[in-house]
Amino acid sequence: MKPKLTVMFREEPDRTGFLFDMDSGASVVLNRTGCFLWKLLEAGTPPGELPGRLAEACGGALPPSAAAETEAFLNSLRQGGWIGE
Amino acid sequence: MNRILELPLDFSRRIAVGASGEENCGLLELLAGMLRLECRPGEARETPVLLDSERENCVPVTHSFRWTDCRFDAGRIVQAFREPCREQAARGAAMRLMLNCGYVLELLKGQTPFALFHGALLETAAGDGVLLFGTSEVGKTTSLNRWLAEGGRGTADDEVLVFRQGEEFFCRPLPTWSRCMLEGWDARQYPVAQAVRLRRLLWLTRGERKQEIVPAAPAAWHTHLLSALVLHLYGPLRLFPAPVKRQAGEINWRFIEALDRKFAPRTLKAHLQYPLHETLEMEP
Repeated sequence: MKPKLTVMFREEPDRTGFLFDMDSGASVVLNRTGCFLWKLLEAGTPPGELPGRLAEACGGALPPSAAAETEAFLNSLRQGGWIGE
Repeated sequence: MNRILELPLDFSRRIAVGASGEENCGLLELLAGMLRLECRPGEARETPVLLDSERENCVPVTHSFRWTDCRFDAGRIVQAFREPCREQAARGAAMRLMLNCGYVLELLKGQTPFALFHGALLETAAGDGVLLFGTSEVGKTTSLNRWLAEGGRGTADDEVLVFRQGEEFFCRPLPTWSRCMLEGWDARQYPVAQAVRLRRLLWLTRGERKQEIVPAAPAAWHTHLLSALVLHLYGPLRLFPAPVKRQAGEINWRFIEALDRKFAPRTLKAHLQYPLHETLEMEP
């Protein structure tokens, strides 16, 4: 699963960020968690490892819904054309 | 028949736009008249943008301002028309393409003290500029009209060429294409010779109860800024492969970083019941 080649990602000093597709002009603002997950995807992390990496970053304390929310985030990225297989 | 138009890019450089064939040279002359620039005979093959009416295997510009077949050819962009572009909308689309292709090729050289903004340029009594950018339909044209109704000056509410000179930024108005295409352009002029110093850069949104200028969230500010910088590039960039599109985005991002050093993220929450001058003439 890789980011689309024409997608730009920028992270702000407050650790929020955004994606911008130079192909379509579409954009989306990411919160801190979204930025964290996007950077892992950019680095080639398999999607199945994302909840674990997120838990690591949060000191192991994640709410039970975290895995489902991560999957929902990935689905929204797929549906928006931000990432491809 | 070949013609060349040199659009001033900054104080020292120009964008060269060339055309060949009677119809396309006529369009270039028309564009030159709108910009109050000289269009002179030249060797169009040596200019970076060539509109050629004699190429084969081409599809004409359509009335929806879209084109369906373009070729990228060894550093030159060739957009060809099988039929002469006599209809107003098609002629406007061709003129816009001429100008924006020249800009994109200059941009891709990578030395980028300039950007092509989608926004409204309001000129203050002191001769400075206020540049408003924002989503489609948010009110850029309305803001320009309000500004003019209050006695202000300004011509651009579509394309604005912005360039950096040292720590300062300057603006040049470019045509409002939709208005030219729909209403004609015989008397329209967008004099680009005199640059306006940019004093304020504001993300335009709508105020619910009052009109004010407030800090903007950095990510939202940058997203809309990048949108404003690349909106006019999509047509020409369709000619290029994905890595070049990405490169164009990165080059524009460097320009945004330069803007960041001069302008803090601010949004103008505009409200029709409050005069714009009062809000915009206040010290930043």
